[in-house]
Amino acid sequence: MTKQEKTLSRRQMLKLVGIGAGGALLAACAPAAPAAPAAPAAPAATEAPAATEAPAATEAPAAAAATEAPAAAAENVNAVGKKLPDDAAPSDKQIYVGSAGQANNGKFMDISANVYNRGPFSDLNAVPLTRINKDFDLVPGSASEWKVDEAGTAWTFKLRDDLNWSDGTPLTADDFVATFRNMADPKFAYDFTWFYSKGSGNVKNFDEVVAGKVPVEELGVRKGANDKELIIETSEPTPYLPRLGIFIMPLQKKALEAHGASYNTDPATAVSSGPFIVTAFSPTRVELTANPNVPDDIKPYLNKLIAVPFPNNFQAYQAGQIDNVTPSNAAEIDAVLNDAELSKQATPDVGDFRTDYFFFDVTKAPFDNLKFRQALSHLLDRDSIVQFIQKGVLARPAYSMLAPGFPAANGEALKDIQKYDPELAKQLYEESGVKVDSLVLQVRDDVTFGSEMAQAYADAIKQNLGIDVEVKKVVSKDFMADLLKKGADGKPDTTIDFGLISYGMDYLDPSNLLTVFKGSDLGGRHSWNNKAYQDLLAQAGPMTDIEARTKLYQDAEKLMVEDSAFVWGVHRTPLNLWKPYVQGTPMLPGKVNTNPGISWPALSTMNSSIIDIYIGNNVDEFRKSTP
Amino acid sequence: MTRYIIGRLTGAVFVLLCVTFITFFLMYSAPGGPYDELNQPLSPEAKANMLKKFGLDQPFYVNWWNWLTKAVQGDFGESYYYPKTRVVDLFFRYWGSSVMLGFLAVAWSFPLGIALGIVAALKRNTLIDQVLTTMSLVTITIPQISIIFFSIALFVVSLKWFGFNNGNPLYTQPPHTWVLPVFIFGVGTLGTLTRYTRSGMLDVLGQDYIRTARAKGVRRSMVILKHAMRNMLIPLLTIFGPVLANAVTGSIFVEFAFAIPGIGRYFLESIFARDYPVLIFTVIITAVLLTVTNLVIDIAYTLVDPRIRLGGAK
Repeated sequence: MTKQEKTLSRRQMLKLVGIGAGGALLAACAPAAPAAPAAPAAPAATEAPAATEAPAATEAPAAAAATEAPAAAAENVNAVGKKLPDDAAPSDKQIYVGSAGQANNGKFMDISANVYNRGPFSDLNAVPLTRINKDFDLVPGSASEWKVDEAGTAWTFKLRDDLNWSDGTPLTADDFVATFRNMADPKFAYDFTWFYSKGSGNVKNFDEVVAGKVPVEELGVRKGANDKELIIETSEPTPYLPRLGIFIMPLQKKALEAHGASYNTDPATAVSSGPFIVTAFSPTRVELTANPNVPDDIKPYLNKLIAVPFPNNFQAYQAGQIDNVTPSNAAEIDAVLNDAELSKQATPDVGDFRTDYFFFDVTKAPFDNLKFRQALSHLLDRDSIVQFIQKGVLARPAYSMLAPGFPAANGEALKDIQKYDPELAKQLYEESGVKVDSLVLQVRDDVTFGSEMAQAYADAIKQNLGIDVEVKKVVSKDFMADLLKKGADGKPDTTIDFGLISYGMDYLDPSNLLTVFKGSDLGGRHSWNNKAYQDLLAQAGPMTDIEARTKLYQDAEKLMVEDSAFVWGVHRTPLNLWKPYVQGTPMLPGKVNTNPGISWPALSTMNSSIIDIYIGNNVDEFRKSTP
Repeated sequence: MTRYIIGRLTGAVFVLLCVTFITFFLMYSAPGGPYDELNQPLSPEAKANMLKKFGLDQPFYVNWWNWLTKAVQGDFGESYYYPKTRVVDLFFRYWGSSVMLGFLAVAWSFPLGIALGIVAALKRNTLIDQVLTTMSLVTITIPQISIIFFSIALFVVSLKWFGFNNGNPLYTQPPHTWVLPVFIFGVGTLGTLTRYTRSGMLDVLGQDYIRTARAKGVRRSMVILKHAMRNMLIPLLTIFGPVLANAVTGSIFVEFAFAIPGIGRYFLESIFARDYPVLIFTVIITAVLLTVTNLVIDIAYTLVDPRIRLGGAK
């Protein structure tokens, strides 16, 4: 061997250093090697859905469904002492990661403090008065039972004895009273007061307190015979009040008085009677940790929830950094549908029973002509829209406002009233006597594929009636300002004669969705003021006979469909993607949502989803590193 | 020199005053305001109260003066968007991530750019030169946002070699969350440096004293490192100033795209949210850094090249 062969040349040295540095860099960047998966476990008892029946409003709750697996050889217990299912990942991996949008702009963490400016994973700091199960049946929440007086206006909710705040103080009716008083207090200016106002919650004196005409002490929410009894009085019989109860989450009176309604945005002042408590809150990261001071049936399997803002949630999901996403545009939806693995993780569900619908200003020509409206109603090819625009999965055809599965839904029976029938449309147009060359169709920009649907409708109108329809997309804020604009005489003064908009439920009662169409005379957003419809709604609202009430709502809806002031487009079925390791009974198909996946309102205490999901032992196949 | 520095600092104060005044003018001229909510507009009374509370019902120059009188006392106010949070606290909470991102980007791109520029100059008109020249041209001309989109699609989403930040400061995170943004942030600097160094080196290598040194038998490496490099430092210093200031004030695009909690990203969000106190503080810090860096660079010129005299000194 020569000397030259023994020594490294400068070039060789540089090469070796380069290779070494590159290797070190790659090693540093490489994801941590996944831990060896746990041995496959027998199917856990939690995978069998517990049969749950909706209790009568006055009945005590059924015993909590058994959720624990048979005793395993080695106990897998989480940080709050709850035994994890057999197929769950170890406790240190019971972390769920979600998105905080593009930034955590939350100023509150409780729906009873604020609705539109809440941070991620809000509303987990308390258990609402009532809850819903996966099939949207009403079940007890922080109230174990409730009853209404003979007049139907005074509801008594019995609070659970075993619910306490994380600081050790018991949850009492005083907390609910303080919460309601804060919501109604005009000085606080709660942003969702309409929910408890006349026509929705009907809480006694709520409107008067909000208007400053009556002191908060006279609000119809008070303590009953003891600390665990809450009485809510309504100004008229409101049989669906318990259904509103899923939104009634208490703030702690003590914290509210000491720190204001945003106390849960600061870990130092956060207090919880729900499954989680806020332990970190910043614009870039929110963390909630399982609350150990709740009864076993409220204790979650997950130890921690983390929300991080990402510029693009879909990419974050694809990169394995968040556990759930809802694709938000056509490109993302195509990416899901064209990818075998993502398709398996995608499940459409009924969401918030949202319906996209076209509307006319019936006070103006030519839309004041019934036959013209009917002609237009027969030109919407819903099946094609669903198949080609909504990709076959994002929506179902709508024949009325109430989507299948929603109380009093009757779409199938109304199917023919506005069926797609171009020949009939031409005939009705002829009979209407209307002669119009062009129309403008304004689309609120947050309707999914709204412009595409509107354009398809416009093309059908042009093709069959020869009317040019200009489709105009309008920013949501401007659209609503225009739609709700009033003239000096207090009458509607909108420029939107023909529009496309949507509405989703706030609570599971037909009154919620059908009241949207009560008409501008009664404070509604549309100019269709139909006396017969208004009367039916007024009659049905306070009725306690559910069957008769349902019939009235169905009659009202039929009347509305026949009058064709609205052309029903599609019921949305948003596509959600869940990582395969997100497991538990909430992920199983139900009666309304027949696909796997967590039902509305997703991870929440309004149902038990946040309590019953867990991270499966297949997590290491998908998650790059512990967040 | 002292007079020069005092003069420059005095001028800098005037520049900063102008920057803040113009920024206030632009902020208040833009449509919308911090309390224009999209979902649930505040009632007119509530909005009027909020505007009054923060003085937003006053003309912009009144607000500018009020801000200035407090700012000179070190009080830069609270964020409108994150109530109860001092702007200074918010800034320093995120500055660390920006500084790390910027310094690492400069740390790899600056020396590598110089090295590649030297190689290109030494291998003038060879294939290596053409490759390096093309590479530098491409990295300068392709918009950073395009590189970001491409890199995320390939390396984060498809190959999953790298990831997004998870909301914690960059310096607490594993390398796979910051290597790619550091690389992308430095790419533009790399291209610029390569081109500057190449042309500077070619100029210097053609000088008589280089030929003389070589003729005297000085080794080529010594000629390059000792004679050529020293004379190239002036143009490099000119670039180094803005590059460094830009680096430590964060990158809007890189930080936003990779979810890095840095100043660049919050500057962008403060614009959207009309968070005036955060916006003005970020602008003024950037202006201060640029001004100071330029001053330091000017002073550094005199150290590198004793022939340079500042402030017209003889």
